[in-house]
Amino acid sequence: MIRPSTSLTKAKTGIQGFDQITGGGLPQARSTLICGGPGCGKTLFAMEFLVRGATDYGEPGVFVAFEESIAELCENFTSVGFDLTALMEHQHLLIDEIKLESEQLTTAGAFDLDGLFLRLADAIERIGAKRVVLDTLERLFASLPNPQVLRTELSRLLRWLKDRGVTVILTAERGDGTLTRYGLEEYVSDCVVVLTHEPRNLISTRYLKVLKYRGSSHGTNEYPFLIDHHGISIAPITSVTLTHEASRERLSSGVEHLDDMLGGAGFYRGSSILVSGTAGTGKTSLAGHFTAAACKRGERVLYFAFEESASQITRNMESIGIDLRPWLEQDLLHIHATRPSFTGLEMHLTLMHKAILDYSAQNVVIDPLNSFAESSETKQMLEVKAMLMRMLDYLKQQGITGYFTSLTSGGAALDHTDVAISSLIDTWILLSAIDSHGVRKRQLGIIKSRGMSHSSQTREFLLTDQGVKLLDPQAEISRHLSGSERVAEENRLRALHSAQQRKLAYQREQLELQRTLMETRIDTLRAEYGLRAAQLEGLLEAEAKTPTTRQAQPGGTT
Amino acid sequence: MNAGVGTPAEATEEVLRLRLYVVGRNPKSIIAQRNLTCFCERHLTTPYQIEIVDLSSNPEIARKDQILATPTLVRLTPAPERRVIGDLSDSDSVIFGLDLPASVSSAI
Repeated sequence: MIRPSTSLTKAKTGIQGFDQITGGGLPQARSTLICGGPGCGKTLFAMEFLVRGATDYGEPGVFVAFEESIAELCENFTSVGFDLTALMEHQHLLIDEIKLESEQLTTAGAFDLDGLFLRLADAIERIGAKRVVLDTLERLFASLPNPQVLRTELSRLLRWLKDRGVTVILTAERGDGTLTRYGLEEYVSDCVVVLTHEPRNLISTRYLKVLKYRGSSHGTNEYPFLIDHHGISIAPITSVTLTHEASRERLSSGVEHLDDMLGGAGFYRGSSILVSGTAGTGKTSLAGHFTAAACKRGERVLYFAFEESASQITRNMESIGIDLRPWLEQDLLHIHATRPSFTGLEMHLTLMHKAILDYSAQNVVIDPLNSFAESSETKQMLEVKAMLMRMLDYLKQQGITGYFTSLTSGGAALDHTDVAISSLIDTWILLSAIDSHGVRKRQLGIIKSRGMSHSSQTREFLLTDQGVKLLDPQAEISRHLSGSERVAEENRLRALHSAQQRKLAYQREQLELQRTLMETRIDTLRAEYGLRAAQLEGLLEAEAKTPTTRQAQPGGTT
Repeated sequence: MNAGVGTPAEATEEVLRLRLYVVGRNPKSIIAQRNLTCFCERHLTTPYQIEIVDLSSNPEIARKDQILATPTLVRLTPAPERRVIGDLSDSDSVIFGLDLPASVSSAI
């Protein structure tokens, strides 16, 4: 089924993402059918193919407009940043406007479309066109009688265009249950692209799907796409292989002691960092530290905020001593604040992908990551997860450091992330708050951090007006107590203290006792020695007195 | 562009001006020219002008005059413009399509 790509030359569309899906663009010197309902972006797709071809690949194009006038087209495409007038002046583009006024038309006998052929041939020759768009050819069926003749002429036209070696896009409206209203797909067998525009979960999203591509492999998914002031862009594609380069460079988290906990140096560049925790545990504050630290290094940060506005974030960060305004002014930081429900979930990711590309960000903060998941239904969870994976994959491929926060709902286990993306995360920091005797104590722990020896301690931290302060593990104990707990703690400490004192006193007593014992023993030993010495002396004295009597004894009686 | 064929007419607004767009040696075009001449001789009672335009030598005219199907017969005057496509073999349709006033045609 899949032939080597060399067997088929492809014409690059220059449409962001599309050439990746199709492995290089549309089939060269063949026709491609773009079909979809009204307002799907068919005309835009076709026009962008011509504009990019003319500006990026040096291939002039002819646009045959069956629906709109030249003036209308020029006006409409200004909003997506295409200056058609200039392209036409430079002979890179030729628009042939075909007016079909069926009410003034009668048929009297056999006819053909030689007029159209001649116009097209003339247009192609005039600018040396390599690309041709027929938008929307099907209008002929509505305007001209005798569909049988039209069908014959149509296949003749496509053959004729093929012989001329031009790459053709035909657009067509989707019919009821069929791809196109007049069955155009029967004539175009090389490549069929379907555009849809459908509401899912009450939010409308555009999707693109390559239905057919003869002689080439292609992505078969439905790809959400976006139309903005730069034309069409299609969501990034999931990378199949893990080929991204792993950087050894370390980045500061912006919090002094947190870097110490992360092997003493902080995160790896290009890694994915997840900070999860329940509400109010300081996730955004940590993100603020990371942002400020990155900006201080002169790196660009793109901050996606889904819960707060940009000014709210800057104000709140100021309250903990992080001033983001200079970075915003220097264009090192951009805060992209939208509501998760503003567009479709997948569209969000498409938008984000585009924003990252446009801003050429080195660091991306998403706060919070799971706001998508919350706004979706259960059946969409898989979809959301897949898209998030694509996003994270994309960041990794680009070597962009990703910093995500995730809100854990109260009931769930603390190390449970709704979107189950933990396998994609390199460093996972868990924040928690313990409510004890009227005071919430914030704690920070590192669940995992790939590729570094990290602390396994859970450290308490404070949110001060100078930012996040991690407390020394030793000093943690009674620092943050109040009320009865403080009294209890003090009592406990006092008791502890006196116990210690007693213990010392006891030990001193013991020692004293031991000394006394030792001295007593010494005395005893000395006394014993004295006794023995005296005894020996006595014996010696006795010996000195008796030698004569002893000597006399052998010569004595017996 | 060929010169007008047919009966010379006075330059009044009432004059019927027809223009036939053809493509060179295309058989349908040749038939259409013949049919048009026959039609005019048979049905038209008032003065008229006929102009034949060959698109194969001037393709940009097709763009300028919005010609798609060939052959195309256009009634230029009296206004409004009327168009008939085909080889003009069906004279009833030609009469209907050109929307000729009863006074200028002797049809049926």
